[in-house]
Amino acid sequence: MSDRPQILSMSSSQHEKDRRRAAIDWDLLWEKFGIATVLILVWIVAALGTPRFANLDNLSSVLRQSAFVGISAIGMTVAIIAGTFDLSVGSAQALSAWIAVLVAAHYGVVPAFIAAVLVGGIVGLLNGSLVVLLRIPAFIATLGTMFLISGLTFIFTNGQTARFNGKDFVWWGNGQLGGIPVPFLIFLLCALVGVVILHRTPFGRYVFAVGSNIRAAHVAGVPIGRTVLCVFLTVGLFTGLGAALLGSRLYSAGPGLEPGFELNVIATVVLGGTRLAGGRGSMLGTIAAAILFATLANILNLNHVDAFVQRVAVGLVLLLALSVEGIRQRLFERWNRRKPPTN
Amino acid sequence: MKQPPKLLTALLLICALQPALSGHAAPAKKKIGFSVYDMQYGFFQDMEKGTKEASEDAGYDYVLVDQKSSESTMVSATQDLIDQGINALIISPFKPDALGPIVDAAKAKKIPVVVDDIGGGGTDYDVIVISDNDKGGVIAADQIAAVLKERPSAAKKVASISCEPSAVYAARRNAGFEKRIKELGYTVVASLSANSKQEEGYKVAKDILSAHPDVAAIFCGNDPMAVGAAQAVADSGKNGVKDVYVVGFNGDEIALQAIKAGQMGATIQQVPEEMGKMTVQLATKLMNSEKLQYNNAEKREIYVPVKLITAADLGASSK
Amino acid sequence: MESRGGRFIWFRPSPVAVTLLVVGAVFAVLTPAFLTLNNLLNVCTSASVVAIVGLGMTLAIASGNFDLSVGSTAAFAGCIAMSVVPQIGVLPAIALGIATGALVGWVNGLIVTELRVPAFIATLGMLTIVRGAALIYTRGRDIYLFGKTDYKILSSGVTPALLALAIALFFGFLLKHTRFGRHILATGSNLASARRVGVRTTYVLWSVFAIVGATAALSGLILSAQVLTGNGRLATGLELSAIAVVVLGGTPLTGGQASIPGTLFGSLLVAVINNGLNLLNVSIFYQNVTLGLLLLGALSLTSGWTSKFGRIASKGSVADVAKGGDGAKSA
Repeated sequence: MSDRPQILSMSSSQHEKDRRRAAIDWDLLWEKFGIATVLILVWIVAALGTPRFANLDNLSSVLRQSAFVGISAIGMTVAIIAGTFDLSVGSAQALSAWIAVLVAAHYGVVPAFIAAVLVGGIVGLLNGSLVVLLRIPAFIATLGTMFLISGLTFIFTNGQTARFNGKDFVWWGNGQLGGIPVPFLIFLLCALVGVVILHRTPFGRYVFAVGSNIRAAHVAGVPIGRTVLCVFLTVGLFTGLGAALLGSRLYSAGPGLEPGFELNVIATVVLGGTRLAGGRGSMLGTIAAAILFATLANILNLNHVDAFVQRVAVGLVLLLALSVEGIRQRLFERWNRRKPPTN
Repeated sequence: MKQPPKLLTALLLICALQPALSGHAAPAKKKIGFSVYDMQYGFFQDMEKGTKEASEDAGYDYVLVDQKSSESTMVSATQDLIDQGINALIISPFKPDALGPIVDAAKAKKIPVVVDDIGGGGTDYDVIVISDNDKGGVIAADQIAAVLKERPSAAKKVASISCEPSAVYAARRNAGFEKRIKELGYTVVASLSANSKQEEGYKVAKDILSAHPDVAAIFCGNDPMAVGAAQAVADSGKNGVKDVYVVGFNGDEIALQAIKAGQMGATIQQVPEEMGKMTVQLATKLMNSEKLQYNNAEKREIYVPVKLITAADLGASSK
Repeated sequence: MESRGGRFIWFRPSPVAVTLLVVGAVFAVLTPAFLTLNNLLNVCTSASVVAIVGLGMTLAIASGNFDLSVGSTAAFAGCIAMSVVPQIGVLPAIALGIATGALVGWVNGLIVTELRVPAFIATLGMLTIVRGAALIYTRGRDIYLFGKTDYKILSSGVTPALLALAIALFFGFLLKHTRFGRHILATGSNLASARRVGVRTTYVLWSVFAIVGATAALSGLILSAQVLTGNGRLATGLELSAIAVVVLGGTPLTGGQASIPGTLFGSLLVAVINNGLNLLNVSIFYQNVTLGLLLLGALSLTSGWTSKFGRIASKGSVADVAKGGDGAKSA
């Protein structure tokens, strides 16, 4: 085992060692359910401690807000499980949202959503081609497309934001069905689709294979190039959908929409338990993480926490949540007084 | 035994973040919510100060949220305000175009909406207090022309440095400036963006001076960029008043200091603190269902004049 | 091709140097203002700011990590330094600023090694924390030092360029001729193997992150010296520029290799493009597009190059997939 090429993440090999010795696999439990548990706890504490948190309007608002990062995060979860990631989702979102608003104003809601998803998909295919065909590392390829698309969006729009407040269009981002915000419902639907893709389709199996051990996958006959291409396409499609909803929510969209979005999305996925090394992940974790971030922002606002301190708080929460696994491992090691792992 | 530390960590963290809040219900005291563009900028810090002081003087509860230069946060944070049961909303919007959902949500709860500067996005706000950005650019142009007239040897060349491209309302400053200065017979040799950042104002100004060493004046869309540009002028061995006349916009403390120190020519001063106070007065009137007097009734605008500030003004007044 | 730990690329015929020459020539033809001494000095200065933090980032990437918090560190160090200049003088203030950056960097290192958080996320979290800290420290206000022109020694004339060159030479020497340098490359090449042969990877990583923090601080100090102002908004986005120039310079993201000259050329390239487009009064929109195309263009060339010269065994699945999924073909 120790001479196997260092493909798996440190926590994976650690995970295997744990599996052999411990009855309860804490790592796996934390990965799959940790954030969801934290989320429930946070909601309980917040409901008890912050008077206005638990009212329906507020909760609805939190769920609504979580969807915009969340939908893109679903696609990103697939990408990260496959061992890659996409830095261009922010600029893709701006472009798609702008197109959505524009098309909605002239052609109606359905064409708007279709257009946005298409645009997202095209960006995804572009990224995929760069990575697969031109062999450019994903980090650079998507960094490059990020600048490229951002610049192009400014050029197309001449820096102007598009606006549209047609009732049919804005309902999607702002309305609710049975008290639950529409974007959140769509988010849940997307998550379901994501789970189905990952666990019930050959593509999903390929994604896991490519992410955990690409050489073995190649040997086993997995169509790597096609898989990676489709992974990026998936990211793009989900991002496009989320973008259309965001444009609807804001009644507008334009270049420069949400700088830093891509980092938020990646942070959400990783917070949710999916590790950057690839090969494993948790869609439930992504959902919980998206809601957790929205909840955190909401709690900070409701408690009138100073804006500068808010930045520190958000970063701290991210770091804390992600160091839990590391802390637990170290405690476990110390407990069992064994050699430190080959990390 | 092994109650996983993760739960404890989370709990501790959340408790640490929560100040001890008692769930008391405040009786009839009215609550004003202020949603601000970004507290990282001196301009908005001044605006917030004015708004807060006026609110507290009037005996209101006051709540602040920071949009952190993001339209998505603008909508969600302001939504948080609205959900907190405020009686009036004052907002200085990062993206006026995205005011739609906010105004609709406020109207649904019968909360009056007062917009403080930037723009109204064509929505149904109750009133907007606005500096005339376009006029400010014109004033800057007139000032530059007046100064350069006294320098017959100066070339008829000026440069214009604008804020980040997505700040379309601030862009009016440079648009107004460029239009007016061209009318007065000058050439705009360079029109570039420095992304509202001070260090980029420095870099862009340096490049402009490289390309056009005889440029006679530079107008910047905000004060941080202007101070950066003034530094670039100084580093090129020239002076930001006597050789290349640098003009900024906002009236930030840093620019006033630079003007007093003779490093920068002038700035167009807005009065964010005053505007903050004004918005609270307007909110009071709206909460009492009084009618408002507008400068432009159709667009429900109330203008706040902007003022040219030069070293002469600063010598006289104390700031 | 595979050496016992990693490879220091002293000079390989790099696409970025060629691109730099071509772009420079194009601008020289398009505008006479480009080739003036003054302008070239400006270009060197702005290149140096990114190069300095880029050199630190090169070490980080060579050791198999990232640092996304360099922009915030730069701002924080700038604020600290500017705030104490009146009390303790310019040079001590500069030293304090750099020390601050090293401290922040060390904390990054701690989070990565002790809390086992992947560098990407660890530094992402620190990005917001340190930025918030800078804003809290300055209470959101500006710290300005008009008249304190002796602080400008950092940013005036050829100082930034000299600093960048000195650091480049030092890092180059470090990587090629010292044990510590070899340890950095070994750690980046294969963490487990490095530990097995006795490399104290924990200390190596702490040092690397501290170095990155220090270089970020220096860049921040130079930026704040240029405008004689310190505030919490300084240098937003510096991290992406730093990573871009490292990548343009040919240092692979998989770790284990470093191209110091590449980073310098990369910084110059970005600075030249920025400068040239400004001189030509081209809108900022096109600058982004150009940068994007450049990154993509340079990298597709480099990838082609790399497969010609062979590949070092890559570290993990991300690298493999990132390189186009040809796991079987590599090494």
